[in-house]
Amino acid sequence: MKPLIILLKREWLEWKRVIIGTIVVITFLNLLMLLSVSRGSDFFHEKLDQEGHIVLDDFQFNDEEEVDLDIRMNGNDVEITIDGKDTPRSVEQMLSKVAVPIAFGLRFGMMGIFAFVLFLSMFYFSDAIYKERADNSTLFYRSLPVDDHMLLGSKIAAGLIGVIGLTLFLSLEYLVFIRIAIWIMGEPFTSLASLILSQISYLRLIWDWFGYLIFAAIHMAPMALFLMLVGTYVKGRPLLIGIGAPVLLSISWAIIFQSAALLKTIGKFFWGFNQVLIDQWEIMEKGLDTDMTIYGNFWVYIFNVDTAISILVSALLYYGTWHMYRKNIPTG
Amino acid sequence: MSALIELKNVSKSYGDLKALDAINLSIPPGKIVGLVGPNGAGKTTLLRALTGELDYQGEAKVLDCEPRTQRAELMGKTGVIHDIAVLPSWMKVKELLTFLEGIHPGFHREKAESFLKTTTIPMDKKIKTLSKGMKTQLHLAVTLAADTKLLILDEPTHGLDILFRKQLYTSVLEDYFDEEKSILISTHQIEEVEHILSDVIFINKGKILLYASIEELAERFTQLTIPADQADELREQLKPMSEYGILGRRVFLLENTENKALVGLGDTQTPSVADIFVALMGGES
Repeated sequence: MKPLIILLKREWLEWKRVIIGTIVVITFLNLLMLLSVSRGSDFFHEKLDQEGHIVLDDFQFNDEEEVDLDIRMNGNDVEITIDGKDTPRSVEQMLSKVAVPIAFGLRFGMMGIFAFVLFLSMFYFSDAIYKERADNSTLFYRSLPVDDHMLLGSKIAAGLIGVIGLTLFLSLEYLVFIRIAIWIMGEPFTSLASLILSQISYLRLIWDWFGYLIFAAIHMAPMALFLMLVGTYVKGRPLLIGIGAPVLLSISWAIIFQSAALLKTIGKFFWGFNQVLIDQWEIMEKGLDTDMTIYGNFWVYIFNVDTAISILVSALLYYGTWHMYRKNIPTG
Repeated sequence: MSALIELKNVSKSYGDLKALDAINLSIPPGKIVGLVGPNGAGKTTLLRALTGELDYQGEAKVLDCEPRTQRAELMGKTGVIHDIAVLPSWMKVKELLTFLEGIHPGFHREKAESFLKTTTIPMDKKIKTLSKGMKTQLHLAVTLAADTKLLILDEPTHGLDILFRKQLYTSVLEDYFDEEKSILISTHQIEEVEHILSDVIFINKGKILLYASIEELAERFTQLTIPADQADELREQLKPMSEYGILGRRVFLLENTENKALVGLGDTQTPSVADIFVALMGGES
């Protein structure tokens, strides 16, 4: 266990600048969000002070027709009425509908963070072995009393921990910034949004999100290992070749055999995890009237045939990576 | 005591090229062995096979470990310095020491630090900023600071100036070698190390041409320097392995010739390992 921890620390030392840089970039984007919220809030407050109410024109609840939302403030009381409907709605009904775009905002932000981290992870996995080959340090690491599987396993583990840990950390940071943004908005928005957000269990949200990240990690593992495998062999530009070669192969296949089957199969496999998310969103949106859950339970998706295929493909790619790693082919 | 290195029919091919050709070798412990051969002779391939860095055919045992399957265990008892800079370039010197302290059970940080204090290597600099000589010194420092029984040096002085070369071999002898430890040095600059070797292996085209102790070489080979006008007559009689001219005289290198038979013919002396190597290589070519 100790060698694994030491090797993970080595990965941290090597990649910490990228990780810290990512945190700085996301924090900067969050600060930009706060700035725009603050400016929007000033605009609405000025309007509220001058006119006594704000009308949000063409506001759309979920897939329903567009309505005008009229927010009035009398002292500490907030009155919200909806124009364009014959039957007035209860506050609870309305809140559950307003919750949909808020839930979407939370999901969108967290998915954006995940997509960004996933994008960075492609650089990590393609460079994980390639960089060692480029500076000849494979020879150094293999002159240490550490098994090859431990060396490779530490890189895969560091990648998984990095993607999941960094996404969770940045998601939590995003949630904190959302709370700050709501506080900056001031009354009556703060009360309204807090009422909606108070229905969210953050623990449940993070747990569900963690479940999704594990699910996504399993489904993305073949791609990560494929990039590592490419990094054991190519003379240069492992990411470009790792992404470009399968795309070129798929396009060539489609043109030569007049069939997009290969392209579709690869696409379906790698985007399978995305479909799970879309399915869950649809289920959640149907059930939002009664339960305010941002994400569904993704753990149930882990035990299925796609996961078994992912693990099998990953195992084969790992074997190939290990085999090529031992050859230590020099780079250009 | 079992052999330090035991090879039986060890071969390695790259396509049609036989880098190692059915090598049989048994090296006892407590030796400083020079592995000598021209470029492309198979020296590095042999060393990489011994350290489990590449696959091979045949049987091999190094320190009772099978290098292919027990590489990690073997590396706990073996230090290796390559002919190229292999330390991770992004690491700082002190990070390297911390890393090795955690990963290598036999590594002594104090020993490495004390060695580094005798150099100008800065602890808080990244390895990629160091000169080639400094990188070799650093690698030597961390390799010698680990408790190992075998030290493998693959062209360790490649690209270094004369001062570094001298210092490297002095450090190896003073800070590492004792009767319980062994050193295997691969080089094609034999004159640089022959004074410290106990044994020598000549390798060419993947085959072992000769494995002998320095004493055996002295007994087996003789160098005879004669006047040039006697060369034709003595060449027929002594059948030298090789010869060359120097300052109007001819120098013969003779194998298995009794010294008594050479009395009065000219000046005899023990040839250098380099001369024997050149003679054997000449025969090969």
